[in-house]
Amino acid sequence: MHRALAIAVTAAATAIAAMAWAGPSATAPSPATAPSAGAQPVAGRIWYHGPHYAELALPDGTRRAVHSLLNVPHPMTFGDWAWDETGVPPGPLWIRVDLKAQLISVFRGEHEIGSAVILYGARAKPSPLGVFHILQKAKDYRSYTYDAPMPYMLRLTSDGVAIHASDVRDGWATHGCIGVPMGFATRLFGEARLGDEAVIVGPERFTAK
Amino acid sequence: MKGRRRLTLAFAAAALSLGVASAAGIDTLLWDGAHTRAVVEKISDPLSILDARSPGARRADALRQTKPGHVRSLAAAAPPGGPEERVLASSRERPPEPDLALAPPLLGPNSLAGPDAAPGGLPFLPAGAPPGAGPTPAAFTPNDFGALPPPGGLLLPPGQSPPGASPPGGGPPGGGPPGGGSPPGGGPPGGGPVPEPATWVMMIMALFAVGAALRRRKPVDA
Repeated sequence: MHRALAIAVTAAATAIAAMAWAGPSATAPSPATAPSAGAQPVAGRIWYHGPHYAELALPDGTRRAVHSLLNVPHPMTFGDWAWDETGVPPGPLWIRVDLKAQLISVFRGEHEIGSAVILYGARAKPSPLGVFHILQKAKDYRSYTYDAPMPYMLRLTSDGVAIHASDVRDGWATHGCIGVPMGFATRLFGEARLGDEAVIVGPERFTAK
Repeated sequence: MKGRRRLTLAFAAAALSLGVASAAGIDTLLWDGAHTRAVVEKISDPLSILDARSPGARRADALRQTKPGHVRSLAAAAPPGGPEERVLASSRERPPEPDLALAPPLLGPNSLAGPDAAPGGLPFLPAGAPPGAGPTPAAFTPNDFGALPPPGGLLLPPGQSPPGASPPGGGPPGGGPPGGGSPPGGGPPGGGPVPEPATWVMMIMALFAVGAALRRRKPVDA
């Protein structure tokens, strides 16, 4: 009787140990197994609670309330992007491009649904700052000026500044456009509509007070 | 029997404690706690959350532009004193230029004789090298071959430096054979051995003309 009980306890303990051994590697990836360049996993959301929501200041002086941000567990590198819009209620889409942080954030209403590392204009061809609206969408666009493919192009200005898919690598710059990774560009192109707002914030950021 | 049961129980207790400790995950708890604390500290400012995932601000140097063409003068328009931005060539599919073709064989001895020559470094001096880094290609004389290994030494292909560079003037002047003296670029610069179609046509027409002239002369002779 005692022997059977001891065997049962041993089996149960071994099972718990085996589960614990296999568990953490599946639920909490270590930095050594951090994903490579490309789509990054999103560990839920970081929520802000009212009545005083966090705010992001826009270059035109207005402020946008932020209810939730994507929780990207690892710092992103060039070519990385994250997209998660599960549970986000419908709302107007707007884009925030942060040149200093080299990041783009796509918001639906007050919730961030996508983020990626960007390329922006070189010093001799800087990206314009301000609040813009999407003027044109073209999936297979080829630049007349540079004779270069710009897939999933979202034109922001009449002189050719756009958000488009690009080879986002460290140490590269554009001629003023905002370059985003291809996987991110396809999703953004699918969600964005003509007239949606895109905000480009410069090196001196408009911090919310 | 009693000892064996005790051993079994001890094993069970050890496995159970190991399982509980691993399940609780002391390091995981610590990481989660620090992460949560960091999130709580950051949560008042969304910009700090964006900064946490950011790769950081862009470096000021070594910028490559993703688009070619039309703006070749960008590097010249950059303000002086700062780092220059390099613009890509007009063709994005162009293969990378081979380094060996860029290095004429005469530069090999220069890199050997230069005081800064390091094995494994650049086999030739860049065009914009500062004066004093080594003799310029224009200053090369056959006497510089004295820096080569003595005759009968190792012969190196052009552009490759030996592991140990001999000091300048180590060998007899002009004694060593010019190692790697083969001309750069094996292909002939002119046209290929096969004539162009226009040449073929002209040659065939000339043959017809000669044949016609011969055929027409025969009745005259007869």
